[in-house]
Amino acid sequence: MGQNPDIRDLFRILYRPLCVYALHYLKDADAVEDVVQEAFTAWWQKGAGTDNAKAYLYAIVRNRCIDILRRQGRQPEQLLPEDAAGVISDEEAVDRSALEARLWEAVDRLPARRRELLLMSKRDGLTYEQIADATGLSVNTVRNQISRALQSLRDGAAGILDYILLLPCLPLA
Amino acid sequence: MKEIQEDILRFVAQHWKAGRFDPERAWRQIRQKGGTPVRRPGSQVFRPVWGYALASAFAVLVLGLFLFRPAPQAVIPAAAGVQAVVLPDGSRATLAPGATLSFRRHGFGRRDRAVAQTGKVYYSVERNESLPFEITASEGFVRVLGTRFQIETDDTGTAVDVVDGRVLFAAAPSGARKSVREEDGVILTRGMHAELAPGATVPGLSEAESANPAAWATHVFRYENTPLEEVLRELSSHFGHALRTDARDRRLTGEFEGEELGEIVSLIESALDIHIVID
Repeated sequence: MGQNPDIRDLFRILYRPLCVYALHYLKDADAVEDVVQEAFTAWWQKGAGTDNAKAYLYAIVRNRCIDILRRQGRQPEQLLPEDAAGVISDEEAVDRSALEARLWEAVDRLPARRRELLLMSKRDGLTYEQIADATGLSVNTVRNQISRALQSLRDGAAGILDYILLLPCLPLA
Repeated sequence: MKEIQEDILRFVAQHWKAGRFDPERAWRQIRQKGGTPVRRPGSQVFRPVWGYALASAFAVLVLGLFLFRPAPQAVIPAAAGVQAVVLPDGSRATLAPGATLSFRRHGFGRRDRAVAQTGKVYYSVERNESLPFEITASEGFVRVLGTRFQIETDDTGTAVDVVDGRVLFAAAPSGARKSVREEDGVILTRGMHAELAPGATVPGLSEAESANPAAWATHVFRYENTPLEEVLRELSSHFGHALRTDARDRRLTGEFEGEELGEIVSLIESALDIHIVID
């Protein structure tokens, strides 16, 4: 098997969505990267067909995640993916993963300070007043910075349409 | 513009970390393990990982094959340079000059994943939930499932630095105590540093000397809201060049990878919009 440029592109496009998808199951980022990298390796060893690659990769990742949860002693009804609020369906996790990966990249691209303010709000659940107290900034500055951060994320998420157009031949799982 | 659902955003915010899930880094990781279609996995036990380590790793391979026949122990002896080796289970060890590593050849990766080391070794351990990776280093003992960390032993004791994951660090079993339980030691996670003094029964947590003690092996410098002064001190001592700037009170968050000081410095300059002088 020679080097196929499509494989590298597909890896670039699908790696982060698959990681975020697996995160809904495992919630352990290290384990998630291992699982996704193993899934790609398994796919390459099987000949790396690109016709149903996306469905195939999502299926391998799902199976490996469920295996790991089983080995941790989870009951069958506890093998479902979850988000910040609670249990979601597997289809939902698949559908969301592309958008979440886009948001992830948009967070990556934020200026460091604006990102930290956004994370204090969304990750830590602090109010603008609490963030202002913690950082010594004014409430207005905090509100402005977070609102600009959210605008960047919305712009990033808008690119999700490009993402779907990039993969016309890869049916969803 | 359509609003982003709050729980989707919250999920991303809760798990986001700088550099995490980066496809370029992941691609390099897989390639180092020989897992991409570009390079097929080899069949030998030890494979050189980095170009510059090729010569010494080849010497290790020859010696490894030689030791293989009847001897139960595989030994990677001390060398003058950095040695990078792949263990039979796919885990990688990077040995600093003068460090050694040994393990039982038969059953490694099946019956156990136990190694013994001297000197300073950085590990990137393949995850295996059912078979922990265990290291004896002088009087220290470390157990992990899959993670990246470094262990250093010398006359002053054993020190562990964790780059990623979760590590159990305890005194090595001796006398009546044959096995190590979690309550015998301390659990270390990302960025934590602990030391076990000679004769001590439990390691103590302390401040790491710098933010990236394993950068000699990983070539990765990761900072999270680190004072710029500390960043420059670490880069200076790693690369052997003094660094100066007027903006010493700034803080830096980000991940830098590379073996070129100039490249890392110019990234920091543009991230913080400052000027840094390399002497």
